Amino acid sequence: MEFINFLFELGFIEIMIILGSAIIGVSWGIMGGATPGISPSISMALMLPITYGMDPAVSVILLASTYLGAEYGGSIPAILINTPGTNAAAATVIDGYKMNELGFGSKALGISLYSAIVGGIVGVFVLIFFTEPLSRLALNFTPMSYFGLGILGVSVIVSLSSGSIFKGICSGLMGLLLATIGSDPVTGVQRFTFNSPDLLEGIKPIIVMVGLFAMSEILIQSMQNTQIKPISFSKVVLPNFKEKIQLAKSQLIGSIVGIVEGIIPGAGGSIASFLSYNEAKRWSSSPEKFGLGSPEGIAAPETSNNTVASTAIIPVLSFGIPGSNSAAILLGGLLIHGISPGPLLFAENSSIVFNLYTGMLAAVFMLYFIGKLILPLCLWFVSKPRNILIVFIYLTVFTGIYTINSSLIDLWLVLFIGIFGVMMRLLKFPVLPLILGLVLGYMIESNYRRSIVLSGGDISIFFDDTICLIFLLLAAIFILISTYHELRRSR
Amino acid sequence: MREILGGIVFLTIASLFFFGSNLIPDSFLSDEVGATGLPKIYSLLLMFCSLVLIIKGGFAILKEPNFHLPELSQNLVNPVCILLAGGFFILMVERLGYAISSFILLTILLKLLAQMKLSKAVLYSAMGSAVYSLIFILIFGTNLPLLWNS
Repeated sequence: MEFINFLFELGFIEIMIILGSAIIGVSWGIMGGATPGISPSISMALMLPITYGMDPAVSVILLASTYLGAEYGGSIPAILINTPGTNAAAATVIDGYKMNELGFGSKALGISLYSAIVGGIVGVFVLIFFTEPLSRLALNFTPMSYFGLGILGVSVIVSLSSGSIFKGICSGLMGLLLATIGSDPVTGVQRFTFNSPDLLEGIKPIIVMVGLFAMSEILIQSMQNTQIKPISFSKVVLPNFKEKIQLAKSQLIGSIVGIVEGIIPGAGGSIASFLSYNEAKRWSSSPEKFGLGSPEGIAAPETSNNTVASTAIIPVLSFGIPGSNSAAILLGGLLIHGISPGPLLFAENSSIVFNLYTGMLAAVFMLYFIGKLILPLCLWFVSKPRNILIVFIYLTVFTGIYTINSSLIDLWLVLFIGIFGVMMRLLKFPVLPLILGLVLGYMIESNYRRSIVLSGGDISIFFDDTICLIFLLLAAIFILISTYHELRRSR
Repeated sequence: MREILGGIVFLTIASLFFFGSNLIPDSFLSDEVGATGLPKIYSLLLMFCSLVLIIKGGFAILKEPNFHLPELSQNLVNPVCILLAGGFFILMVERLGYAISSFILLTILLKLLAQMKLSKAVLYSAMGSAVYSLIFILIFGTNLPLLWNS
């Protein structure tokens, strides 16, 4: 209700600012998503330092609409050159590229755009209805509950470590160790700062995110001499009414899968899109057409990954726990403006949340216009030699990071974290656990030590607090189930 | 092999943090856990997990001796150029100013990475540097040092 009042009270200038931010974010996101190798999180990471000096509301709208735009943008090269622009668009390749080969590339792009809009609308409405009730739960939290919540958040690491749980745990512990750099939360003594005033506040998550995502991607892309595939000019042809009716069932499946997968931390858009493709095929009246250029095979995954783009933000806003790389970067965008997600977010910064909702709704509708208008620019952009793009992206990263604190140490850190990120990626270590550890490290340590002070050193205080106990049990269940699945998979 | 290499890197980092936490000064405000408590616990756990990875990797090599190193044979010249040019930019940005440093960075990388002709690289760099300066300094109003001693 408060949100509806907020909408009615918006003035002309505010509406223009929200629309402008949504247009810039969606355009940037589509171009980033359309460039193979530049994932939604990298598009957001490149945008993040630029948003530092902006109004917090504008900054979160830009980041969230970049996420939405990038999820659609990823389908453009998937359909046109058989190369998914994002991981989540991998399922779109199967039928999208086949339709393009059959001469229906424009139609495939239209189905993808229309499904992205449907998924976006569903996702934003779920975000609006679920975030506040969930965050209200957190008003009853004690330091022990926050500690339990932090442990629950870190337990997600196990499910993010497909292939090797120990690699994921190493990455997560590395993040927790990085979080200890700076002033101690209780005594204020300096830890691992080498007496540098730049490190007193610790290593900012934004530096680590840009280093691990953008800088390491620049270095890895520069190693590869990728040949650019020629792209024929295409336009977007949206489905007609009859075709829209035919796509409704697969879009419903995509939306349901997207809602569930978005809220579960660690699941993400790529799992959602393959799961929804599979379910749409199972429930389709003509499953034999899947893989041969079926429009439903595009609609289900595209609806699903665009629903995830909104629903993945729910745990970030409600509890401050990011479940995906892109959600972690949005959290970084909130943190650099001094905004802490969680129960107090609605009490202290409700206007930022409502601006975010409005901006995301605007971004979904802007997808319709920008998705059609920006296609020629995307095709031009994707056709440019990769190394020229890398050079300009590199300068953008340096410029953006320097503007945050005017600190040369931050630039050196980004460079070294980028090298560390390359090592992690070449050795197949997951990156997200490190980000989770870094973001949740302070919450875990400060609340653990506060609780210990409160209890006079008695750790049973964590089991006496009901909410903490529930979180710890959930974390244990989560770890056991993920370990069981991992062991089954490895056999 | 990936497990062994990764395990060695993380074991080294964990050891540095563990021994580094001995250098953290004591505080009279210290609680029971203390400023060194969690860094030590995390680094010990990281040491344990790294050792598990190294042992796992070792067993995998014993099972299949014809192991392959991760593909590091790719073009390493380009990333090294990028890192050196980046280091040069960091050293120079506060001395030469943003406009000149970014111009030099772009020229070096466009020439070496994109293999442009020098004249074309200079032209692109001048345009790029001007556009970036315009966007970041004049439009966004950031505190980048535009020219030397500014």
